[in-house]
Amino acid sequence: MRALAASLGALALLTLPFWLANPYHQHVVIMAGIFTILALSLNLLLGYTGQLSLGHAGFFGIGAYTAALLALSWEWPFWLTLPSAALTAGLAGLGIGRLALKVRGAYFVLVTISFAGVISLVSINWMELTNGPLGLPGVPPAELPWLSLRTKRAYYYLVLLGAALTYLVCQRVVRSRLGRAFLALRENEALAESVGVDPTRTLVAAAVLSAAMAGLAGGLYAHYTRFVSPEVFLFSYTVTMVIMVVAGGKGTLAGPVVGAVLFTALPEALREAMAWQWQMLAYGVLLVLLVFFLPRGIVPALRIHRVRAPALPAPSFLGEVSEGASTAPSERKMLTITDLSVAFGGVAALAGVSFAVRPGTITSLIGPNGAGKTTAFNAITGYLRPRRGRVSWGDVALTGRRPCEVARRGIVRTFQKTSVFPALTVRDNVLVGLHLRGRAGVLPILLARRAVREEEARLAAEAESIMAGVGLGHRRHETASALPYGEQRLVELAVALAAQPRLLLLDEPGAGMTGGEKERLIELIRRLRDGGMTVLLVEHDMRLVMGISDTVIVLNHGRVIAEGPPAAIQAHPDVIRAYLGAAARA
Amino acid sequence: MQKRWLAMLLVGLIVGALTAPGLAQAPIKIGVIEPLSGPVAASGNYIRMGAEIARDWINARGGVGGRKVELVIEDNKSDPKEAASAAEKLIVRDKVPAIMGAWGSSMTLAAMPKLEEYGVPMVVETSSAASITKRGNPWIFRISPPSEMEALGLEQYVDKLGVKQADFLAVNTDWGRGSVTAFGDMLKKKGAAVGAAEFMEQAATDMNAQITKIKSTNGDTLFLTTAVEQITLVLKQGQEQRLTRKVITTGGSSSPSQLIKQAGAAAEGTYHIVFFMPWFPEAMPDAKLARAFVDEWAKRGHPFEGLTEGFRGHDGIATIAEAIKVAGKDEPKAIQSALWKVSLTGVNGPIKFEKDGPAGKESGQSKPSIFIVQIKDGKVALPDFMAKK
Amino acid sequence: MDAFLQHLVNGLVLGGTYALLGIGLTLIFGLMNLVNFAHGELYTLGAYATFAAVALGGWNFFVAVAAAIVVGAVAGALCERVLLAPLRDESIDTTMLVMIGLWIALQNAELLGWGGVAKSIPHPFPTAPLTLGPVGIAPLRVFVVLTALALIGLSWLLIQKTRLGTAMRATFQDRETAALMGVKIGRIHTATFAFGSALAAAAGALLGPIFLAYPSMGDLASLKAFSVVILGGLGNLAGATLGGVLLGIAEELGAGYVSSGYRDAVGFVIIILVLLFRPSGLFARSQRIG
Repeated sequence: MRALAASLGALALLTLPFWLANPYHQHVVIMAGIFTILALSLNLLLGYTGQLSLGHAGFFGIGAYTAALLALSWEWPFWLTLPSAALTAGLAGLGIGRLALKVRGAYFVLVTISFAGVISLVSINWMELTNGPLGLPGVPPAELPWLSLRTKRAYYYLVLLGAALTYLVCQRVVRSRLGRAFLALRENEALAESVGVDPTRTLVAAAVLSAAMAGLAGGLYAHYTRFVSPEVFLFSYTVTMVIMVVAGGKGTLAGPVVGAVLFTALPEALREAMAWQWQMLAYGVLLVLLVFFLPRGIVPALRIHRVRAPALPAPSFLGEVSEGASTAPSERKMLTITDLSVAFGGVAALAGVSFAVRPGTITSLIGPNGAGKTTAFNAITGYLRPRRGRVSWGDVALTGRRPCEVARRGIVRTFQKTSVFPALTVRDNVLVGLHLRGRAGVLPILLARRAVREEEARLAAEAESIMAGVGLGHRRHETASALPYGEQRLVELAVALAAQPRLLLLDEPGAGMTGGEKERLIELIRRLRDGGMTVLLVEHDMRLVMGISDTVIVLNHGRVIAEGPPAAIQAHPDVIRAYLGAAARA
Repeated sequence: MQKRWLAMLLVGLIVGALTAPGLAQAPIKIGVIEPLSGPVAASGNYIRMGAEIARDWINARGGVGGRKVELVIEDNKSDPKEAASAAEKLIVRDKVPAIMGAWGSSMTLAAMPKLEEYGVPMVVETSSAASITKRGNPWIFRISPPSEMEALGLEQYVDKLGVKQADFLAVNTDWGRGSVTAFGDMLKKKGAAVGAAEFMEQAATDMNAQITKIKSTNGDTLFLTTAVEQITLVLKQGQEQRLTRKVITTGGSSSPSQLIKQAGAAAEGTYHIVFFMPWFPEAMPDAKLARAFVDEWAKRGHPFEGLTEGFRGHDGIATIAEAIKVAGKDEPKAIQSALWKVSLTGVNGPIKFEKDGPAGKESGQSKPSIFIVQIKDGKVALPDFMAKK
Repeated sequence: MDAFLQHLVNGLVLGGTYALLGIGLTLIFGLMNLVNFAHGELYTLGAYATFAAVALGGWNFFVAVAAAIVVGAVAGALCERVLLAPLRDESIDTTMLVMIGLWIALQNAELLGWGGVAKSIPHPFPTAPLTLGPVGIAPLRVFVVLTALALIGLSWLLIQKTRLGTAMRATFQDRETAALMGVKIGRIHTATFAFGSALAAAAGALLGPIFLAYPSMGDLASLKAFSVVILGGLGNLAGATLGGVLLGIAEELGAGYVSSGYRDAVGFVIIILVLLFRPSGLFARSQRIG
């Protein structure tokens, strides 16, 4: 059924210029194709990584100017100017990505607006290069030695090819390890980092790809309209792209395409339907109505609900720990923390903490609220930069490394507040956890190399075994945010285990679990240790702590006040005082 | 479920509107492409109003060859892409045999490949970039003066105006940049010095920085090239900073009446290059036509200050109608050849095209009349040196 | 040197107007996390309301400005109730898109209603500049800057010292908890948006007479307001004020001493630099990671 629809669609697209004989309609379709590329490119950033670039017209314009200038000044043929347009815009994307992706959200939006603003002003003021506001007329039409693409019909096929290529690139990227990393960063950046996703590199990769696509669209535009002027940088072009992506359905592959076609056709349809003074007003009102009634966009609203896998009876909870998770890591290294100090403002959260975690043991970090336990986790895993002191793993220093670098060394943490990738399915959550177990790079992904496909299959199998291991197999296609609390905690654990840690830092894993669930949690943690994993645990449930720990370390007011086996700690006078004191104060 | 229906309905509506059959074949159609929305909407709308007057007059006289004239008006939103789309739509869908447009030079330049592609002539009513008629596009017929021509028109008055050293403040567009170059070259040729050349963005509202900078030169004259809104702001802000210069605005869009109304005393003493003097219709080449146009404009309730822009619309449509009359049919190719033969007097003055651009593919360029007025005692007056003549 | 002093004064005054534009947006953007593209349209509304009252209705200028502020507040409240309240749980991109649609619709409605011709708003101040040595400044501008400062001060008091302000801050920090404490969330959203809109309309009413009123006047205002908000840090009134002044002076000096063609580029470059070195705005205090 799907295949039939797809081939019918392809046939329609391929024969379109023959039953759409009116050149004006062909013109609209070509513009729709160019904007499809732009919308797809913006969607890669906005829809998948969650970063809104309002400077996309900048990349479009760079592409258009590159193609126009190369064709005019050096008389390059279009089959060279088009790739150059994409390349130049991609390079600009690299620069901007490197600079701008230090900031996120609203700040990223403004950096990108500013970037496009500066580029636009350069195009106006650098008369020698760009001919300033007069623009560059007379861009040659697209010609191949054996084929002229002067006609609309021929150009339509060129644009169709470009759009199809862009779509394919988006599809491959989105369904790859890289695409999952995009989504993971959008959903929960801290968690993504904890399993080794490098935010900077990943987002820069997205920016480069996205910019290159926009540049390609710019090149196609330049050779089509054959006139390039600083207006290609108009903010309204970026706004149009945003409208297309969000109204079509961001974060879906079909959404931008639908949005681009619809919102290229709409102004032209309004031209037909009413006098000029009402057109833009109607456009605005229609847009408001569309968003108002379909806030997630057209494609998600049209999509038939995903066929759910039949709800299998839940297997016994934590029935069996997967092979993958319990594989004994060969290395046995010691985690050493020396004189670790962290301060917030003037308040010392950690004041010279030193301890060691022996390999293959379960060590618990306990202490009253505000003792500095989570702060210690943050400092060990790179989420906080300590003011003083060092953290080392064997003979490797971890201090000053970013969380993804720490994760790459086999040190994985969980978070105190339930932390999953909410909009992703359970399976995709676990696949993100497997990020470091794959190695496919951008180029092999784009070329769909066999190694990449084999790797995907391998990761999928591993994900299955991990889900089965924690008892989530029957939930694999459900969205993480839809699961009950206890199962979300399991997803979290599965994500961490998927990263195959040698040292696992668990931040209050038992919080919110029922008695029975906790029993099984204890069993799981034990089994992990027996498999060779080192576990560092922060936990409030003393029964749990005392039941499984090999060593217990007690923090109070940012200092270690006791360290030893559970029995010794339970009898330690300072510990009793700290807890009683805390209780008395509370 | 409901949402799916809504989505389908919306999509259906839009697709339906797009594929709806066009209007039945109407009288002689003339396409008009102007910026009717966006930052220069006012100018575009004045030209539309002028074009409508021309249409109604022609139709009242029985149309062209017994057929009524109909204007198909499109908004280019001050965006070249839209100008090209509008041209394509007018030619292909509405099948207009001739177009008037597209106001700004970059809009005109963007529409030009379409004219060549389909072979449809366009009468250019406002654009001032020299390159428009130099590109070898034989479908272009311009009735507005390029900046160079405007500068030459001013040349004879430079001594009388007493320009020794001039500064420039212009909008940062093709028009502003072109104007600065053209007038600068002309002044240098006349032996006058050229000082600062400052620019402002089209949407800018605060020009104090540029004014302060100009104030620090020793110039005696400021050439101001931009739309009337920005001229108002520059004059007001110049007054606040006590900038004492002879001000000459170029481009013919300055609408002195509007300046008197909105800039008040700040506009006192300023000179304006205009292509139509609605204050003195009797001083225009065709006094009767000019008077009739001013009266008709007032009768329709259009603002007086729009006249200096609105006449372009009239002249453009009158030119095309005349060409259709000469051709005897409303076919693009015939109109193109007829345009070379037309000779009429518009509100501005005589319109007759001369060849411009590379041989064999020349564009048409008419030589419009150019006038200077001055604001004196809150009224528009002819400058002393002209009044004496 | 004289020119430099004049540039500096110009920049300060311009900065005051930017600050006025920014404070309304910093509340809406910073507190409600709403990318309000229609902010400039409320600015335009304020200018046209003043024009209608003064030039057509013959009202006293100061009464007209006050009336414009009320119009802005009502329009803002209406917009929040009708358009934003039903979309409160949708993502930031969705609400942004609604505001983009509203921006396009309102601007073209204004074009339809008022025509494209710019309107000059009459005001009672003398046009002759006040002079201080080599430096000149128009009395109207002095009035605008002082009023802007007063409005900024008032807003600060409202946010920091009143029950409503406390409820606003609480709501946008932690909606669930605030609701549990008995805060009427819906009303707070409406009040915040209405307040931000009133400030935008105030900016329009005050700046309209300095500049002109025309349909697309809000575009530039929006852009400058966004810049000011980001420079100052989201939701930070004092930051927006200082950010506005900084932006004004930088643009003015850039245009005066670098190139007037690159005037706006100076502002953009500052924004880029600030965000790279102080990612949460120039005046943000460092925050503890949750």
